[in-house]
Formats: sequence, structure tokens, C-alpha cells
Amino acid sequence: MMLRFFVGLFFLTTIFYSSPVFGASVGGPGDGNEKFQPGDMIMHHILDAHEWHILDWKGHAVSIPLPIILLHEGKGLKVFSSSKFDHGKSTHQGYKLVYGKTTSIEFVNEDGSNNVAETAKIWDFSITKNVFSLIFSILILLFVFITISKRYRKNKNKAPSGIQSLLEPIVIFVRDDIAKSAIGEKEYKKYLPFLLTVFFFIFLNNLLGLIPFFPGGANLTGNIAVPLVLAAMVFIITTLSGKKYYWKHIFAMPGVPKPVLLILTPIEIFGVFLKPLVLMIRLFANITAGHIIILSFFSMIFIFGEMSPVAGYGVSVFSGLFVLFMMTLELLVAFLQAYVFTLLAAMYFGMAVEEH
Amino acid sequence: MELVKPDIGLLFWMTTCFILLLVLMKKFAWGPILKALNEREQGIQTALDQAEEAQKQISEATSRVAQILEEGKKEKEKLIKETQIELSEYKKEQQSKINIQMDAQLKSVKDEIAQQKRAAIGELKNTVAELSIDIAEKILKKELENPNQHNSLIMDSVEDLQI
Repeated sequence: MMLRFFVGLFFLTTIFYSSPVFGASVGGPGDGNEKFQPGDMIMHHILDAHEWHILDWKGHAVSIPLPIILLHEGKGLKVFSSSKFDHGKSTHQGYKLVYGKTTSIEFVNEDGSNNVAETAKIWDFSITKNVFSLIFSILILLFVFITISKRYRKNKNKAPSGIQSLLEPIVIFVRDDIAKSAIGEKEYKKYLPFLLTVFFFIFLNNLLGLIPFFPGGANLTGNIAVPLVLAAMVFIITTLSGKKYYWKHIFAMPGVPKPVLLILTPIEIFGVFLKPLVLMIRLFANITAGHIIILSFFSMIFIFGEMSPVAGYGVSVFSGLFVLFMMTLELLVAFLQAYVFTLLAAMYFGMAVEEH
Repeated sequence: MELVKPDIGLLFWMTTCFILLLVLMKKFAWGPILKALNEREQGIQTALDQAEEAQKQISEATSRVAQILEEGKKEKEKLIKETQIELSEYKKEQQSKINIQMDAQLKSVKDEIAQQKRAAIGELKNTVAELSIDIAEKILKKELENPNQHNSLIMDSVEDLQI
């Protein structure tokens, strides 16, 4: 963990120091002669995109086009394929795909310059790489668990078999060791479907993120929006299920003198919001850091390769081994983060429903 | 800062899709799975309880069988003892009955013999008396007129014989 921290810190600083370079190079496909920019490459991989870039082939980008859905105030809903943009080279109905650290859509004037006023009116609901990955993972979850639930209905009171016996211990683990132990025998059943869904959603998407090629590789759980929504749900559920005891401990901690309460109560109120915030940042930072480290090791091959091909080949051996090591570690992290998120959510629910 | 700036599109899709996932999973997956798990666990628990109960009953039955066997053994010994006692008593009783019977028979035989003897003696006496009378008659026919005098005279002499 120490090693990971330092390596992560090192590469994060590298990225920040090299940030002026981001702007200069758009990292867009098509211009093959420029210098390799590890920061660009890494950001491109961990951020979202409007097309699923697979590789560059003889100077041309090969990517899977994704649907663009734009809600343009005053112009209504626009739906078309991202292939219409031709990797940013052409405009479609006045819209242009702009490559930065991430891809964004701008509304352009006749002369091709950005129409800032109109661009601000665009609500981008496109099925981006991350949205595609989200829907894909949801379909996998639904398919797998509905198949299993059918088998439970068919093989009633029989020993589990196949994928059922693979996932059953995890379901029981979440039920007994997370929900039951953190919330308590009386109330846990109400929160169990949410906790199970969150656990398997995070776990599956962490794992999908480790697969380097389509349909995996999107950094979904490491995208701030996803932990944000999950943490917000935890916050809403915690707040809605808060009982008298919970609120009393926030606004008027029993057994504490009044003057101290003046300090304590604001801290407690702050804590109510801080808890889900920390939940969000932990998941986001852990997964993103993992991706950055692995990509950094890959980048080293190309950095040294630009100096001399021999150095590139030499470093590739060590990079490969390090990446293998990190990937193995990330497998553990994938489970661990799903576990930690679910456990903390369960503990917050437990605190909210606690009674004395 | 793109890294920590949530994208409105992803926020929207994440919220709607996740809520949809939650609802569908709750209805079609977690509900039946958790129910089945619960039922199976209860089933296993009941089976275990029943097995334990059966074990208990078996051990109880075994001990009862042993007890019954023990009781039977005792009963048998008691019966044998009783029978032996009865048998010896019966033997004694029979023996004494036979003895009594034999005694009785012996006595009646003796009585009869005595009676026969007495009768024979009586008859003998009578015969002797008659014979004597006849003899005396024949002797005294010529000497005495009253046969009765002779008769008593003879009777007296016969009594004096003391057989």
C-alpha cells in the first residue's frame, strides 16, 4: 500500500507538471508524429468519451461509434451517431466533437469557431463510453441474477449448482457479515436489496474496468459521477430512516454540557454530509488511482521507447511484471472497495435505525 | 479538473439506470433468492433438529430395549425359582396324598381282614355250637328231656373254650 501511495503520488505530480502540454496537444487521433504524452494518454483512458476508441491504425482511429443524445434548449432533442463527427473532423447539424482531456460537444458558428452562448444551452445526455459500460454492466447483473433466481425457484431446497454456487457465498456474506452485523437482526431486511445491488454493481464495474479492451476498460466506478450518485442514495436512505435516537445524537448529544453543544452540534451536522462525501471520494480515488498506476507503467515503455527502442523493450519486461502485480492487487481492491462501500453504507443505516 | 467534475449525462443515466436496476433486482432477483436461501436454511435447520430428535428417540428406544431385556431376564429367573418351589411343594403334596391314601387303604384292608376274621370266628363259633348241639343232642337224646338245658350247658362250655 505504501508503494502504491508513492507511485501514485509520483505519477500524479508528473501529470500536474505536464499539464501545460495537455492543452497543446489535443491527443486526438490522426496526428501520429507528435511526442508521446503519458498524461494525455492516461487522462484519455480514465475519463469519459463520446466514442469507444480501440486503436489507431496507420494514422486512423478505429473506434466504436456511440449514440449522441443532445437536449438543446430551443432546438429540442437531437439523436445521432458519433460516427457523424468523423473523429472531430466534421461537424453535424452545427455540432462539433472537441477533443480535450475528455471529449465534449460544442455548437459552432458558420466559420467553425465555438458559439459559447449556444454551447451553454446543450444538455449532453449522450450514451458515452461510461454510460454504455453502465448499461452493459446492468444488463450483466440482471441476466446473471435473474438466471440464478430462476434456478432457486426450480431447485427449491436443493444444493446450489454452477454460477449459483459461485455467487451464493457472496450473497450470504453481504447478508450476514455486512447487513446483519452492521444494521442488526431487526432492521437489516429492509436495506438488504440496496446493499446487495450496490455491492455487486461496484464489484462488477471495478472488475470490468480492469479488462483492458472493449467491452471493459471504462473507468466507471472511478468516474466521480457514479460514486456521487451511490453516495447520494446512501445519504438519502440514511436521512429518511433516521430515528429519534439518531437525530438526538446529532442535534443534542446527551450528557454534554450546553456550551460544548455549540461546538459539537455544527460538527455533527457537518459529519452527516461528510460521511457520504468520504464514501464517494474513497471509491473514486481508489479506482482512479489504480487505473493511473497501471497506465503509468505502460507509459514508461513508450517514454523509454522514444529514447531508444532497446530501452523500450528492456523496460517493457519490468513494466509488464509491475502491471501484472498491480492488476492482481487491483483484483483485490475491486472486491475490497465494493466491500468497504457496502459495509460503511450499512453502518450508516445501522446508526440511523439504532434505538435504545 | 475534469477528473472531479461530474458530467450531467452520466449523472442522469447513472441515477435512472441504477434506480431501475435496484427495482428490477429487488423484484426479480433478491426477493426470490433471499427467500429461497431463508427457506433452505430453515429446511436444513429443521432436518438437523429432526435428526437430533430421531437420534434421541433411538437412544431412548435402545435403553428401553435393554431395560426390557433386563426385566425379562429377572422375570425368567423369578419364574424358574417359583416353578421350582411349586414343583417341590407339589411333589411333597402328592407324596403325602399318596401316603394318606395308602394308609387309608391299608387301614381298610386291615379292617376288612379283622371283620372277616371276626365273622369267620363268629361263624366258626356258631358252627361249633351247632355241631356241639348236634353232638350233644345225639349224646343226650337219650339222657335229657329238655334240649334247652342241654343247649345252654353246651354254650357255656363253648364260651369256656376261649378261642
